[in-house]
Amino acid sequence: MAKGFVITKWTEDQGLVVYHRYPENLTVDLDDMMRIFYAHITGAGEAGNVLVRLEKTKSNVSSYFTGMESTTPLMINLMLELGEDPEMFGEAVISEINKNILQYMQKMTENVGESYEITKELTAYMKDALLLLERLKNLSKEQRMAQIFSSERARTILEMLQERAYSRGELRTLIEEKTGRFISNLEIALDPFIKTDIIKQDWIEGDSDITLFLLSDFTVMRVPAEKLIENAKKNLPTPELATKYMKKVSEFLNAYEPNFEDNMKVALNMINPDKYDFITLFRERAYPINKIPKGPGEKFDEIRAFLKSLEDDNILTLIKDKTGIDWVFLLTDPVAYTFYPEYLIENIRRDISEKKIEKKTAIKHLELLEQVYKK
Amino acid sequence: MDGGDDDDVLGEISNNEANFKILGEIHSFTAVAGTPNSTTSLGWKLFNNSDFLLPDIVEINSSGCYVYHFLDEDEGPTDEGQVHNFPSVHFKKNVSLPVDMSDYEITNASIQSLFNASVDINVDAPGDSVDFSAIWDSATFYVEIADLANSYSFRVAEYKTRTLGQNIGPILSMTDTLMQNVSENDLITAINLALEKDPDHSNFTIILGIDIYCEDNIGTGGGDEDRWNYLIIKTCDLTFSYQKRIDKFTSLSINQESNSISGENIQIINANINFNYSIDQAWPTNLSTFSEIRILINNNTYKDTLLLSSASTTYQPAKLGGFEVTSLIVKDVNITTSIQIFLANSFDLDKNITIFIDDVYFYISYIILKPEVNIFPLVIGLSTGIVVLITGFILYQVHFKYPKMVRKVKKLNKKIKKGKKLKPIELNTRDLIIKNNISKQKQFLIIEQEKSIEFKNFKEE
Repeated sequence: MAKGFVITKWTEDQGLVVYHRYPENLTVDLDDMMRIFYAHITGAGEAGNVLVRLEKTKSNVSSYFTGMESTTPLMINLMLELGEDPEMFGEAVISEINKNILQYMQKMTENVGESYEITKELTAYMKDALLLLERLKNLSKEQRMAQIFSSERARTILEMLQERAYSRGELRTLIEEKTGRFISNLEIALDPFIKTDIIKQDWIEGDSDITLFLLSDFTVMRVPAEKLIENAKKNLPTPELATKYMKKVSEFLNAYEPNFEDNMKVALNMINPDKYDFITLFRERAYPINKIPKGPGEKFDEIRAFLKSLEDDNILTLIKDKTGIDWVFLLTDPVAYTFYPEYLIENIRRDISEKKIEKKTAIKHLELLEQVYKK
Repeated sequence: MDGGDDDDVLGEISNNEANFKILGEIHSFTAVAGTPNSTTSLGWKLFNNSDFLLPDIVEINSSGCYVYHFLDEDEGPTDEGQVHNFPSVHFKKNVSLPVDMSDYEITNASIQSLFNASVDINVDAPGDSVDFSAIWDSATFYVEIADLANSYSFRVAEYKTRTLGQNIGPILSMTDTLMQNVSENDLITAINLALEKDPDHSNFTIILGIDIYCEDNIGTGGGDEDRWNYLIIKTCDLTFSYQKRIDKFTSLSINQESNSISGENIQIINANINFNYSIDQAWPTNLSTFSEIRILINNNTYKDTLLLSSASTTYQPAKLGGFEVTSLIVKDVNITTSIQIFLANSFDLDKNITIFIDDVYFYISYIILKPEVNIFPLVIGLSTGIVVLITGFILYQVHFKYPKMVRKVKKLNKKIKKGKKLKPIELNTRDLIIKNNISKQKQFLIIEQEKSIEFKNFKEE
């Protein structure tokens, strides 16, 4: 489980100081913070992320630095256990958290008089963020696929394996070359692929390294919400709402052409545990806005904010009934569509003809593809 | 016994009952434990790692596998000290298991290796002020598993120092630090691969290694110096458990040969066999669902079998009323009856399981008659029918049983194995698969809309 957050700032007169931490009893070693700081400023000292392993506190630290050129250079350090890697949560989520923390910091600079209240808000936000990270470790299979899609590194791994099978060593080198980023732990990078049965790792006799084979492929996209359409067909929840709903869905989906930006939007909504809870709720049926089931401690305003963001992304739609009450429908169902990678069979034929892969690799890959085919 | 492994089972008849024993075992094995060449981990020796030069001092002493090294680029009249910038050493121990492991399966394994290190401040690490740097100075501690000939080795634990020698802090030592292990599955795979290479499947080598890399970080004012006070692999513990692997198709039978039933005018009208059976503990269905008791007459298996999972710890009849095995009785040959335990798949078994058979009886009834009907045309007709059926069955089994996609995969695999020329195969590209799905979804929507209109019209009527 993520241990907490430490925000440090660099000033000319005081050097590196701890600005805020959560939880309050989190041990912070200033030498460790210096180590992270040096890792950032080695080179151009630009804004960016580093992953640092701290032996003394037995922690991994995912650290974002605003850069030496920023007005007040800040470091936002997410303190993790040694076995944890930010990739487990997805780079998009960590970036979003860092962005939000920076907004609080910005607000504090602009409204010094309200800094006590803003700090309280920031503390509450950090508490929620840690809870979110914990929930992200227990994603469903389709959420893990969405997580792969939303991560540049994981997407690159998928793209490489859509071409052909690679050994772990080859893949690591190629991904590092392509993304320009060091892979600290390949096991963690491959974990969502294994948990979703997208790849299989296997030894090929005579090879000294394990080979990775793509056995299933997927993309993230929108599809009609099957159950809601079934209901609308039966004039549910009311004949009037059903007609309006079918009209809206048809209009949207007839014009729908998936593209990378829209797919990414869909993926990010899926990996947000709160939004995903709503998506799965509305997959089953439509609800009047005042009767949406609330989780413990959830406030109506919070629900409203989630709904608004899902509506903006054309995942939910609101339709008024005769009495003027808004009903919430799933306009499109965001899914990870999995399919058999039949194109790999031709890739294998091409690669073996062009001597790009060894015969034994081709045979092994075909045997595995034969085993996983279901019809 | 046909196929399988006869070491996996033991048959005996005692107290007037047949006992079929399936022999399971579990063992745990400590390959190495504690400090190399201490009383718990004897037999370690020192070796060069390929062509790499050795560090200045290497030895196995009471602290473990010990290394001292001092790189002084200015050493010697022509700066020949530079050749010592990448020394390495291996410490090896051969491990022997008391059994041939091809008959066993490793079920779990663990490795733990500790090291200690101390360096002078002249060892350079990220953050230090130097003239130039790329990958910095480092020491790599590792554990590898290899076959006895050391032709293949697999790294199962490793630690490469990154901050050791850093001036800020400073970080000049590391105490009892654990190397990072590969996953348990990979560790087991490494041990298995090493054992596979051994003709006796019982020997492999453990290699402890220390590589030192001294980067030239000094541009002016003399050569670089890096003093590694001590690098010690203090302990290495490797333990694993293994269970007996029961091979698939292992079988064990009790047989009885009796006289033939002979004579042209004899017609067998009924043959019935039955027996009681029990087991000393519940059969592990999760390990082998389809293992069974079979009845064989003259080596022909009767169609009905008894799953071992159906056996209880008290005797029960195999079938109420017995098995009707008339179709298996052939005239004019001695009748050999067998009751066979057949193990359908390979599995690991940690204890013995015994199946008991008792009270076997076998009745055959026949009548004597005069054959008058010419059955030759019928035999020809039936034979032709059987040939057609068998051809159809074979074609189905080798070809039509598989979906079209699998047939394409199989065909390509066959051609690759035979080294034949490969023509391009027409298959959907990734984009096309996705596009087709979108069209399908849109089509679904149109159909559902049409149905919805029909439903409403129907309701209005």
